[in-house]
Amino acid sequence: MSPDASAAEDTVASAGDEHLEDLHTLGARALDEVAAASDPAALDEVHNRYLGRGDGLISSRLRGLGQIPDPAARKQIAQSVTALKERVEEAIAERRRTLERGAGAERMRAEAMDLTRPAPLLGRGHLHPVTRCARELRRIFGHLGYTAVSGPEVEYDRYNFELVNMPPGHPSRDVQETFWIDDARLLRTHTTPVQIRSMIELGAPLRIIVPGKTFRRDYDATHFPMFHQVEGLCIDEGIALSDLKGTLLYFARSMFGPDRAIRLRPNDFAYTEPSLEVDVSCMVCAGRGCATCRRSGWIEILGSGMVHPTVLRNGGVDPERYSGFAFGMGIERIAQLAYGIEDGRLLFENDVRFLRQ
Amino acid sequence: MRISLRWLRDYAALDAPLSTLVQALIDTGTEVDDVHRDAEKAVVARVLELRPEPKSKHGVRHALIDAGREAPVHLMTGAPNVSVGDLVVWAPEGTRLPGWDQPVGVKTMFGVESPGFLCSAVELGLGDDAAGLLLLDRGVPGQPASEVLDLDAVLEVEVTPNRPDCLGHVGIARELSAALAEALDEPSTAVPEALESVSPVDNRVSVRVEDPAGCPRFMVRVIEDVDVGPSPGWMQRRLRAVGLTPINNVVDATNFVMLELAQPLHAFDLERFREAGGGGGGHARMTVRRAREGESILDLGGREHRLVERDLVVCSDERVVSVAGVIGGADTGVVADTRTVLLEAATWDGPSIRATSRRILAKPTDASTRFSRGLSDTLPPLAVDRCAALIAELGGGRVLRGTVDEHRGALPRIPPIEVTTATLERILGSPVDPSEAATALARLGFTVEQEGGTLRIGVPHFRRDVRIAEDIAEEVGRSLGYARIPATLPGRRRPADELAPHPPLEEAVRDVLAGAGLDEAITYAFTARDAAARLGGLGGERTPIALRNPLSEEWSVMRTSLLPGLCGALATNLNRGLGDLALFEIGRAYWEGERTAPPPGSTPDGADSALPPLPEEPLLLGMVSQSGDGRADTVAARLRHLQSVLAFTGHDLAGVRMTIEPEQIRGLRPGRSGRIVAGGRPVGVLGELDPEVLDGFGLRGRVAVAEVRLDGLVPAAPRTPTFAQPSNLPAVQLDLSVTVPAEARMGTALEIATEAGGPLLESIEDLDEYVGDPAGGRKGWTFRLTFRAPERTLTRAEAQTGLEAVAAALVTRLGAEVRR
Repeated sequence: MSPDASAAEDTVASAGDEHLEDLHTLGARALDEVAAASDPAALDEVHNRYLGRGDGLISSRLRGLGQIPDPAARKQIAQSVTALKERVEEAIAERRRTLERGAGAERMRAEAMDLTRPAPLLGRGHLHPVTRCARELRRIFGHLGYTAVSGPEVEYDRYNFELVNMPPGHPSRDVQETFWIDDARLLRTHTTPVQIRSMIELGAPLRIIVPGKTFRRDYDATHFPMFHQVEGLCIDEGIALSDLKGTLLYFARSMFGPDRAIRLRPNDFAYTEPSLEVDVSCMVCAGRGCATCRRSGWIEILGSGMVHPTVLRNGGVDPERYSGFAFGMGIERIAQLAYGIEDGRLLFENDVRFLRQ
Repeated sequence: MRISLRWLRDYAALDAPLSTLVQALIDTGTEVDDVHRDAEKAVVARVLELRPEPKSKHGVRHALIDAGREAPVHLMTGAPNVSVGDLVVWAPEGTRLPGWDQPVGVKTMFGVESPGFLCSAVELGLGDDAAGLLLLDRGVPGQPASEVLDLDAVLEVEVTPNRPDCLGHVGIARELSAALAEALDEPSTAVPEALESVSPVDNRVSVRVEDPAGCPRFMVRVIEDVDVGPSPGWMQRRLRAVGLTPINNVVDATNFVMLELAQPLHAFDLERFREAGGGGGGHARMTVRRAREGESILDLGGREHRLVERDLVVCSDERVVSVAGVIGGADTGVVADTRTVLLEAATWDGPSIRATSRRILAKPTDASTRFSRGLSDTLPPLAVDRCAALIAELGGGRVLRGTVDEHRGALPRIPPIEVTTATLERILGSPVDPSEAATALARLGFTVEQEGGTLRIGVPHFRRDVRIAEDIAEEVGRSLGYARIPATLPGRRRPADELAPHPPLEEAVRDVLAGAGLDEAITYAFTARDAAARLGGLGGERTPIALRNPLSEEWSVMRTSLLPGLCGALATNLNRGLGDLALFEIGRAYWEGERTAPPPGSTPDGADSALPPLPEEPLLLGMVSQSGDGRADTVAARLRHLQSVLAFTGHDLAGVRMTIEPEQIRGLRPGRSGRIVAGGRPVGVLGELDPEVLDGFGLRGRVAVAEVRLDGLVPAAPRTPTFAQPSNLPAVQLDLSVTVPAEARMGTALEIATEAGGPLLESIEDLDEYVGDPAGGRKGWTFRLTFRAPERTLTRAEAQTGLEAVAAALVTRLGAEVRR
């Protein structure tokens, strides 16, 4: 009961008793019925019965007031009726809220969901692991200021071999079995020709990566006639082998984890001098020796070196002023190592169960 | 190449542990693929009991040995020299012995399973005594035999193309001795006087080299009175250790010297050589030249090889008897009764040998591999003397005095290289101490004069790969160890005139497609010759570019469209029980004769203009979407889905609207195919696969496909969107239902409506299509038209007027009837 309501009651008690007694009972009955109403429809009925416009048991009390002669008593009764009306209205509203809450709770119970039921799969497709890996490489080298460029996949012998220091009969050609179209044209065996094309097109200084398809006439469980490479080339004044080492260490850690180390081993590529093979400490056994690294603790990931002065010259870059380093890696190989894909053949089967991971 | 550790120790001490030697090779650039220790599983055993086998006629005995295992091992031995208590070597099952192809097994003798056997010195590669077991004077049962015996180990090494000098044991020993700072003891190559005859070699042979560029050097010695027979045990062991089968003392000597010095040699029987050329008088006339058209040769296996003009050959007079570095002729080789050996050591042009051996040989030989890499012309004098002396020594003969040396094509001498440590530091990015660098180079055989920070370096004769300062930097770098070089990131202040690069738009397209539920495939860029004829896709009628040396018919031409490859990938999935899936690929096709300009970065000398132009390489997007139920409406929904994806791609990425022009396209189903047009240009095709094509690719169900040229659609730089404020003024939406002739096209209707609706018609939306009775010849469409005025509230009456105009236009221009 609100304090206002009790004050009204006291006032009523001090006026004409009969009238007031009656109003009091009426009020109590109304409030009982409000409390007993079990649904909104019953509450509507109670409302109509007591507060209905004109003929409600309470609201109709205001009509006969004119017959009460004493203006003070009249005013008092009017106030009492209005107060009661407000009280009942408030009780009805309160009861209505309570009922709604109850109904809401029931509805919520009825509409409860089993959230442990697996959700239907999002109807999204998946990108090929080679694409995902290439994006990762682009991100890593993008941070170092490298721009991705491309070049023709059907290339001239000149750009694929001759201009990168591999003239006809060069023994290094043997390790790059070539698909030929005619005497002059071939499917590029590496992305290295884009080094020459970029030097000619863009000049020095230069920082590019070249993701793209490459082709070698080789097919067995671990060699595929088509695969993807990312070539990297950095040319500027004062570029040294230490910069190559730092760049590839940054790459190896960004790609394979912060604890990785790299190892440089001398090798021989026609287009670089010195030439280096780069190993990363095994990400499976952390260098202790396992089947993945063939017990050596190291995994070969790419070939690299300082760009041969002849190659710079062939690209129109002055080797007296500029030096640079280059590297090339197989995206499939990096993806296999980074994503734990043991059998490389999976990358070319396009089995959606494999792709959707 | 296989390298025997014991053989290496002929030239340097190399007594460090095997793992240290292997690491030293790896660190200095010789890849070690594998290491086999001889008889690794063999253990020391003590003989506990010996009992004769009564059924044996040759004294085979039962032996009970203690090999450090829980129980004694019972096996059989035929060795006469063993007694109870002796320490012997037991090779259990699985032991690999030097020169044996198969590991040791279990043999059943006299009904007893005999696991492995007790070894003689021969079986362990330790000596010639096969008569009895090797008896040990130390060791405990179960101890690995390698701890008490000096067993050999074989390294499988991979030598880089620039280091032909490492294709022999001396070369590898030099690398190791330099890395470990040990002395190198090179074999003597002079012919001892005692083995030399007074008779001069010129009496027996003359040499004419017609092509000094092809054969820079040709050397011959002759050894007389040779007794051909088996080589002594030490040589057989050396050869067996690296996987060669000993043949006879002459052939073995040539192989031995090749494996030692990396210079291949060839031994002829001088008499047979002379006879092959029809010559008489005891004098062999050797001619070295390029082959002539029509000439051929029989190899040792009796197979005939036709020669081409590039092949270098050795002739007896005019007749070809061997192909340089590739085939030794059948009728001139050394045989059992050979008495006079004609020994050849030559330098050949590497590329010529490479071309010939790749044409003739199924796989390269030891000699062809070495010659292909271009050996130094300083090696033949060393090798021919070393080998002649060995043949004379092993065969009891005498080397004729002097050498025939045709050296008109002498390779240019490599001039000394002068570098400063500053240069080396600039290349390596690391401090270089001049004395340390000089010492390292000297150990590798270079001569070094040091004057302060300047090194004047003489290149050893066998290192023709070292020419410039960068080569010296590599030698110094690998000697000092690349681990010592710091890791730095390059950077310097540069003018800020660059723009941030855009991510390639094809990547954004990939995201759209994956977001729309398509999985990305990567298929081979080559296809079967008939693929394009079956399903041309965007490539249409183009003739694909053929590969000259394809791997197979399935991969014989370059693709002109991505769709055949994608259909193949789809078939793979269907065959694995998967279905109702959609794949896409973004990649290039190859269109011959369509490139309009040379690719960027062509050499400014214009040399390419003499060559056939490179093909155009359009960047294509291909999509395939399969439904398994075979229903027309489900595949229609998939085709519509592909259209939605394309519309989104075109609008959001390229800012273009794509329209479809219905057209019958080869490989696609009539009535369900069309050409995609953007900005008035055809950019793609789409439709449903024709049932016959479906069968041809081994597909089931029904398949919707689409292919567009991305680089013809998507701009090089991404579209910069402009954003307008949405109108707050109310719009009026009115629906319009019409019936039209069955063949009417909605694309046309929408164009007519857009035009007739005037500027107040904001949009027109296709709500529904109703195809009732096809026999009735008509179908129904319902459109929702939205009218809005830009700066005021539109009245319903104005919108109604617009609707009437649209309806009237559809009635007159499309034969529509308005349904009220």
